[in-house]
Amino acid sequence: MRPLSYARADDASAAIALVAAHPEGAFLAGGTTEIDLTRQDVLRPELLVDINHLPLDGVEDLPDGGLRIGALARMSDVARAPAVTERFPMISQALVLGASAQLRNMASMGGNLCQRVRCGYFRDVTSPCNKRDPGSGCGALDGFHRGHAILGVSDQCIATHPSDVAVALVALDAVVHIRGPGGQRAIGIDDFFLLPGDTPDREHPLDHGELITAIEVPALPTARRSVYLKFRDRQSYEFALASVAAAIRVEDGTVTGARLALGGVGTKPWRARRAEAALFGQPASEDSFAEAAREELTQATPRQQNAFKVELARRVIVRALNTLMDGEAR
Amino acid sequence: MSGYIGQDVPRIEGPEKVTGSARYSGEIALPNLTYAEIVGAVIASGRITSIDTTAAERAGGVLAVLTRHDMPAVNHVPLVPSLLGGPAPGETFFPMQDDAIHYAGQPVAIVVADSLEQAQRAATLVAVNYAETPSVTTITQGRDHAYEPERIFGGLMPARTARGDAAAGLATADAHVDAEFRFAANHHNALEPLTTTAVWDSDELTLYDSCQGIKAVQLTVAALLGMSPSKVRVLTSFVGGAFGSKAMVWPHVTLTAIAARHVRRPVRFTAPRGQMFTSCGHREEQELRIELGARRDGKLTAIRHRKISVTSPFDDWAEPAFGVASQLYASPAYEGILHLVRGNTMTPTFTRGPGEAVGVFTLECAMDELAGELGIDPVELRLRNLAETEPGTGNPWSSYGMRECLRRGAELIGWAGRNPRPRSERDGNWLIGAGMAAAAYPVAFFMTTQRAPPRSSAPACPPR
Amino acid sequence: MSTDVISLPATRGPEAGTVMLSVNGQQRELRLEPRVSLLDALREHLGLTGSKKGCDQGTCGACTVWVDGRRMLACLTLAVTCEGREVTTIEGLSSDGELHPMQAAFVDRDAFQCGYCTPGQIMSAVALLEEGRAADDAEIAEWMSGNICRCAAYPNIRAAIRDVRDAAGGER
Repeated sequence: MRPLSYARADDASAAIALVAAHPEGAFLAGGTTEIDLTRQDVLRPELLVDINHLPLDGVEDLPDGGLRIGALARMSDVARAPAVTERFPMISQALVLGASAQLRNMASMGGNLCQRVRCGYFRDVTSPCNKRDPGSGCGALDGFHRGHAILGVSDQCIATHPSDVAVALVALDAVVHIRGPGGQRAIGIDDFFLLPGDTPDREHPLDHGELITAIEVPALPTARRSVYLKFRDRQSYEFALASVAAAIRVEDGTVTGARLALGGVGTKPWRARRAEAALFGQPASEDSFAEAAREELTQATPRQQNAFKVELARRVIVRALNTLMDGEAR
Repeated sequence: MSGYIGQDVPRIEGPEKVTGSARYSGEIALPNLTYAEIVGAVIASGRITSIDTTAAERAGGVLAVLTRHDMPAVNHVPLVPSLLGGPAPGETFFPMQDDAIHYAGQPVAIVVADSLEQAQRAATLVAVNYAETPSVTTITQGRDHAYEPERIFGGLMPARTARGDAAAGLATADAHVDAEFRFAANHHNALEPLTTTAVWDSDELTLYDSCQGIKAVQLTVAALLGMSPSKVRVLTSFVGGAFGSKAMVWPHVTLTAIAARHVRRPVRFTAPRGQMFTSCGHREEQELRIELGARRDGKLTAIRHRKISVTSPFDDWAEPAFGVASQLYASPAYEGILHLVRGNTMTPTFTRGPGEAVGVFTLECAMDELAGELGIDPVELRLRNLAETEPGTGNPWSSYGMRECLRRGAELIGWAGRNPRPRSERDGNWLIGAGMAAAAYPVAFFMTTQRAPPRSSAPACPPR
Repeated sequence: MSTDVISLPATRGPEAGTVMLSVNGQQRELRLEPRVSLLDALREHLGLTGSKKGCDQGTCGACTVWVDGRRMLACLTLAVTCEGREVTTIEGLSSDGELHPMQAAFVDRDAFQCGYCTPGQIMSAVALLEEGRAADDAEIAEWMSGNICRCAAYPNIRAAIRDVRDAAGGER
């Protein structure tokens, strides 16, 4: 690891000022991404500003039934918060299906949104990677890309976004609250994640020194019966090959509302709007679910090693919706 | 003494392990300790055109940056399996003797610094330039140039095994199975990484090394460096797993000793996890094809086994897949032929049930398919093919537990009540069923000597 | 937003400086660079080699320690971030020479072979019971999934955890 400096902030203003003043300054929360990638020399901060003592770790109820999750709330604490498990089970399920118990105790919610891709070429500084080193090429395109994305890809980058809880938050239209040198703002979570396009090095519309302070989840009664399913090579402690966050509202056997988002298959957490639109007004049957899934995946652009994800993602959508209809997860 | 056999006895080192007081090889406190990092090649084939160590040498805390220009000439020591009791380098190639690159990860430089962080940082500053040449690292890439070697497994075994007329046996069979299996390379990845600490006192070397045999380490390092073994002492108290990867002696051990001699201080090297894939061998990538011929009653007429795998540029190494497969059943004919692809990898090495794990797996899968084809119960099929004597020589077995294993195993899991049709039972979203396979592993006998001084008192650990 | 009125905290490093750590109830004064991990501070600077380095990238769990009573990975934690926090390692688990019930259970159930993952497993297992995540084998396996054992002692590890769980009167 390169030599670096350290400062501990007790309030957001100080943290922001410190990072903003230093071009190679960075925030340090749980460190599960930051320390890992700094040790690999992928990230090269010269100053780490410890924000773990900022009073931003609460999980609060909003008057309308929504939630406000502090950016420094740990994954494990959010997962077991009663408000989350009761009103937004897809969030708690997504959280406990991610990482390991130890990592969930360390990792912050804000850091989770900002985690970096698992692509082996990104993580290896001797390999070509347009995300890490713009213009150097993409090793995955003709190399190892079995775990890479089939949605939202470009010819510059096909790396999958690895977060689980971000998928649930995208399904729920969460809002990301940010504070920076220029003040405060809020971004809809779908806009918080950028497609790689020609600038895969730019993953979030965050300026240097801007800090996530909270994630707000709007009220959604339908989300009380929601689910997050994750499919992967190993039973546990492994990233998704394909995953889905799902909630559905059915009245008189007809779908009157659906929230669907996919993980493990997109360069960003993938809101499945086509599937949602295809479901609306349809009978809540497996045929409708399969048709909606098929509709969503028509836009997939698979490569040789990850082509299996197209069918897998379709089935994952159907499985999730069946699970909700059955009333029990399998 | 007989009071111990069959008793449940806790490991005597248990308390040390569960309290964290057991000291593994990289945890021995030593005064004046320094830390080494090895820089590995980032290409698989070619040569080094230049190494610039200036930035690394200038980095904080760095004592030395060694390249091939700082290395002594290291002796060529042949690869002989460690279980034979002599020097046992894992590959006949020793790095940092010239500018050739034979495999990715091959050591090209060593950094020694006062602290771990300083050594790790300085290693990233060593600037190596390469002229890359096309490499072969997979069976697919090298298949067209595969060759049949004379001997394998460090010369310990012949590459070909045959008895009877397999072609005729297959030709006259009523039923055939022809199956192909592809195996990715496996890496042991014991939880404790490779670690060596070298301490010189004048011309005497002490090594704290995580290994599967201190004698092999002593003899190998002495042979490579042209020292008398009496000048090399190896101390190992606890080993954090090996699974075959620490039986042979790999370059990092001797490189650490050389670095320690260079800086005249104790040097500790511990491999980062990423380097574990290119530092201590692996189970080779391999493809096996197996053909079975049998009569209608299930009796085997012939077994034909083929294997192709990747070995290093320097050694004819393959793990032997044909031993148990040729002996387990009373097939009158057996033919096992092996081919090697010269590839840009390390020499593979012993890995968990070397050879037999793969060979028996393919045999048993094929037997399962044969049972299906003939409509014979898989357990019954094995029973009909048991070898009452060793099929090749006709020698009697000293013991033969197959029949008892099959009968007792079937009884214990209620085999008779199972539905034999594959994919016939579900449990929710899961397909479930019952299957069986046999396994065996050869036992080798070696002469050994032990010395134990007479005890003046009773042993310290009573049975529980 | 003006920065004039904000007093910014002191920046430390990159050179080594004094770092005060509370480890197993003892105050320890160290001279560390900010980049030194908690794991390396324990192993290389405090001689507490019980916590193991298996991967240095958060994937194996052999470095599991408790920080303020919660199980975490020392390899991805900078030592300097632990100032003001309570760090507990495997060496701090037993008191007065008596093995902690989990340590005794690991010995009784032969829940290890090489022992390299063992301290991390034990620190994780004790925390697991505190978290109330040992209802059955499936839950134990899932919530212990951050601790790898290459010797595959898993069934015996689960048995040891069940023993301690049951002796304590069932799942909390």
